[in-house]
Amino acid sequence: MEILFAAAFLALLADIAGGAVKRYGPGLVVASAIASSLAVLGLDWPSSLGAVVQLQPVAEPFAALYVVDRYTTFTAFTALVVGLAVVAYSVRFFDSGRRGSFYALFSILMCTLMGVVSAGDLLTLFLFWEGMTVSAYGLVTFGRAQLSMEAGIKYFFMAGIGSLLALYGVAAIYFSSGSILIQSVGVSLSSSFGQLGVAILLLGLGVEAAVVPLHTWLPDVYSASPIPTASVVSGAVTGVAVFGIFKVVQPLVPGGGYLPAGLPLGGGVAAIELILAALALLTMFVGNLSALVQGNLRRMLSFSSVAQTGYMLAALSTMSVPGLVAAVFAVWNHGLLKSNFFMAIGRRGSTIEGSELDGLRGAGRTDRAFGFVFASSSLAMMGAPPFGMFWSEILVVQALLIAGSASGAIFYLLAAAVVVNIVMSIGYYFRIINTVVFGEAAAGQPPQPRLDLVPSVSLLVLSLVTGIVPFVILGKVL
Amino acid sequence: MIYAAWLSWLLPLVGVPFAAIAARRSGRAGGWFAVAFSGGSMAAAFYSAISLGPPATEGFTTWFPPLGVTLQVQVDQLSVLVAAFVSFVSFLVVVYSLGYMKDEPGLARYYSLVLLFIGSMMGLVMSGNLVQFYFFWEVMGVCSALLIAFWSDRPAARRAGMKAFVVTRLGDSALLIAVVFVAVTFGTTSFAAILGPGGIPSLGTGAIFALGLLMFIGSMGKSAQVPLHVWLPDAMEGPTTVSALIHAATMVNAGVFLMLRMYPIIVLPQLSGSLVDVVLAVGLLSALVGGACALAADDIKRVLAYSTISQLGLMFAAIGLGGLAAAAYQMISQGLFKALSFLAAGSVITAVGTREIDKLGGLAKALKFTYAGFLVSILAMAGLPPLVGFWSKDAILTSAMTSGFLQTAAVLVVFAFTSLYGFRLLFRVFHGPVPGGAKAPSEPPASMLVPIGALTVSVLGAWYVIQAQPFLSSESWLPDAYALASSLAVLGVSLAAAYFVFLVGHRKMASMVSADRGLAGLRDFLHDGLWFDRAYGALYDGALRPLASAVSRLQTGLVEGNTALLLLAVGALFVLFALGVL
Repeated sequence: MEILFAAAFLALLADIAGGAVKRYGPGLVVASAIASSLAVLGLDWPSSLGAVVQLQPVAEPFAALYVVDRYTTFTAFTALVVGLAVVAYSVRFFDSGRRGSFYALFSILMCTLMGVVSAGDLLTLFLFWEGMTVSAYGLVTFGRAQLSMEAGIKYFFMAGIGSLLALYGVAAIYFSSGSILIQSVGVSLSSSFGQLGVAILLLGLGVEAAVVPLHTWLPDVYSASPIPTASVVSGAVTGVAVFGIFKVVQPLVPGGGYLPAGLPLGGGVAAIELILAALALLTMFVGNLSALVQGNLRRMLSFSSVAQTGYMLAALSTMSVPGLVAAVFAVWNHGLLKSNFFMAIGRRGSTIEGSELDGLRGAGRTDRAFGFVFASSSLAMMGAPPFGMFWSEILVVQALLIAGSASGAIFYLLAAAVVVNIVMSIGYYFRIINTVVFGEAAAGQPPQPRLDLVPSVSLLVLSLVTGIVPFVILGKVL
Repeated sequence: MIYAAWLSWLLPLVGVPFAAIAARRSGRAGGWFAVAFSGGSMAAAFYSAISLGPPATEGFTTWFPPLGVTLQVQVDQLSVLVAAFVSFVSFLVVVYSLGYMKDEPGLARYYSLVLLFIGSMMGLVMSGNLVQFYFFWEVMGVCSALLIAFWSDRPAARRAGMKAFVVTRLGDSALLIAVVFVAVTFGTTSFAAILGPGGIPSLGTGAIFALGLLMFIGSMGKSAQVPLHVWLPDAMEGPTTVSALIHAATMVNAGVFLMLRMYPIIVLPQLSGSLVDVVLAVGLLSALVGGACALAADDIKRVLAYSTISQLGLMFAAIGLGGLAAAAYQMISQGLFKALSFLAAGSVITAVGTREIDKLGGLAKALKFTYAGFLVSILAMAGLPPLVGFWSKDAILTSAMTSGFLQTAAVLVVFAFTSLYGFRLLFRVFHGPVPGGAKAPSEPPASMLVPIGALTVSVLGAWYVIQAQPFLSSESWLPDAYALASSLAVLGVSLAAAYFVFLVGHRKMASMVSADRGLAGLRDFLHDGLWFDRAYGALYDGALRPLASAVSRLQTGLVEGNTALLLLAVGALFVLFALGVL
């Protein structure tokens, strides 16, 4: 985290310099910072699932500050991989103007994402969450196009209210349990005031994770912000935001790292379970139904992300270890693919008009490489093998069926809803293939430079690896 | 190690990038790479069949830890039989592609997808557990959809690809739930374990029925059974090679194959025949619907597609009637003669440039070789002894006769339909007057004629080899005299009827049907596939689309509205807590 933070300053410094340093310096600094963070992560991968290691860099009476376990490491890994690809992409994307501040903000964003992922108490979580919102807001409005400003304001407004709610939830949890440690969530559930606090906290975090009905900022941000921002927000920020919900759920799950395995679910958990299940159902249906009728590619992708959040919530609502694993794995698969998708759209879709499906008609015909990436990404997002998403959908269904056999019909219903929604998503993803890749080519657009596709293809290849040899990736979190 | 079994499906998969790279340089080179890899796969599959010992399963490495899945092959009588058949047809179709697809653009995509398909189909047949089976099942679906849309400049082809994917995935959803349920319940999905006494049979009756039904719904999607059959006629927009390989001979059999694998479950005594009856009913219904629609279709490939639906229905009916071996035999016979019909049809399309029956006629003289192949395939489909197709049909009829009057009648009507549409196609395409303005046809190149020849020979004589295979050899295939007499009588009558209706008196009959409102309505009803498509279209336009638009309109994008939604959510939460609901 410190590496990333320092990189932000270096990026700003490099921006002041001239020539090649100005052009590539900031990007390189941030890229190497992310790469070294990845290396540190790789060297220090927690060896056993059960252990949640609490770290207290500063001796302080009631906070753990950071925790490390396999889930946090895996999610941090996901965010860093996506971040690295997006930085690599940005270096070519922003080829003029001042971009030092972009990389600085980007670096701070990565830093706050790491903070959110590894927060050990609710206050730390909240602080990094705010940092994440602010830096993401800066990235959304970067370039100051009018639409992105509007999207940014909407985002900031919604996220602000969300944070406010979350803070209220944290306060309520502290009031009812006397602690702000993550595991105090479980304690606070014993009183109904505490339950309300947890529910409000989830709702507050749900804004950023695009849980329906709090998702309304997301289509605007995905469709109006600069492409690199859209890539990182869709691939890393939304995923980490779901992980925020994960962090609240984790201490309630027996065997999830805080509670020993085999315990029955604690009192009050059922209410949270029900809220999450209902929100999951609503989120996936609203996401997919809305995506079906979109005419703009980026808005379509954003509603697809909403639907994906629904699947992840469904997995989390099971309050079980398979559910936790499924959610984290889904964050990984969705992060890779969605970020890859936005980078593949690239410059031609950097404006709202440019990303209309009809405007992109036949683009894959004139630009074969682009068409190939697009077709593969669409297939991958439909959950078709041999891409990773296939397995994460299976894992979500698995978690739901296990929960269904233990506690009844509601989870069977959710499992059915998930598979129905997957079929629905084929409707619009195949439409993307049929329009963009197979459609009759409109006026000849120049092909994108091949190098622009490298970061997106790397993420696609990672997804393919996850699909063909799933044990390599899953072994890191199981 | 059972090397041959591994190689039979890994080879085509390994070949995918090679064929793609080679085909980018020259389409022909890509084609030869594909021939080599599919040939290798065939050799391996044949070796597995010849050297078959006791059933063996072999796996290595935990492929997908959460479901306890290992990557494995299962070598037994059923898998080697089907693998040998699949690889044989695949190889011939790839050879045929050398000529048929010669000057097409996009051959890198074509050959890589075909090889990916072959590898997946072989992987599916050889797999030893349900998850691996489902993985390849889905990969095949992807290949199938993309190959249907291969001529992507045709909007109809693009739509057909999408339709195939959506409709089959509907069925797959049911299968997915079944697969994961099995994995969750037993901690393994290996066929040996789940079919054994500690596996699915140990569950309650309701659970077994639900599981079997979910798997059967998956089969219905893949094997185009009513009401999930609507994608197959449209799939004919793909290249004819693809129709022959995927949509006639191999992939559409995957559903039947799944039911064959799961046979011990669907006949469990505690179900008291309920599941078997479902399979029988759906099979017979599809056989009748497919046969009836084939009578009125006016595109040579659509007739064959409806015929495939009908024949697949017969296979499910065979399973429903308890004829496991008959279903497998029918699957292989249908694969051979239908692949032959399609390849012959492909050479007609190459020669004349159209698929519409009304614009075809009198081709027998110019395309002698093709005609011979087509004639043999139609005779086999109609069940003329001793061609392949005869033996299994007769076995199905025999078991229907022991089962009941209704079943017997339905099977006989299906036989009559089969002969009628088969001979209709033969007479209308190869006999009768040559339509004016048609270009002078000529036989296709050798690369297309050789596979047609090889398939003709196997349709004529392969019954001898097929019946000797261990999976089928335990049955007696000698026909029951009563069944033989009935099926031959049906064949004779239908042939005569087809001769008069579709050849001699064709013009008269056509104008008579057009003049009569009732008959014309019936013809159009059959021609439009019994309006299944219209019903689905109405469902989409009337329900899903308005719902999606309404949901979309709810999200106004205005900050006030968004905030109101958020506050509403918080308010709802408070109310729920205050009321004590949560």
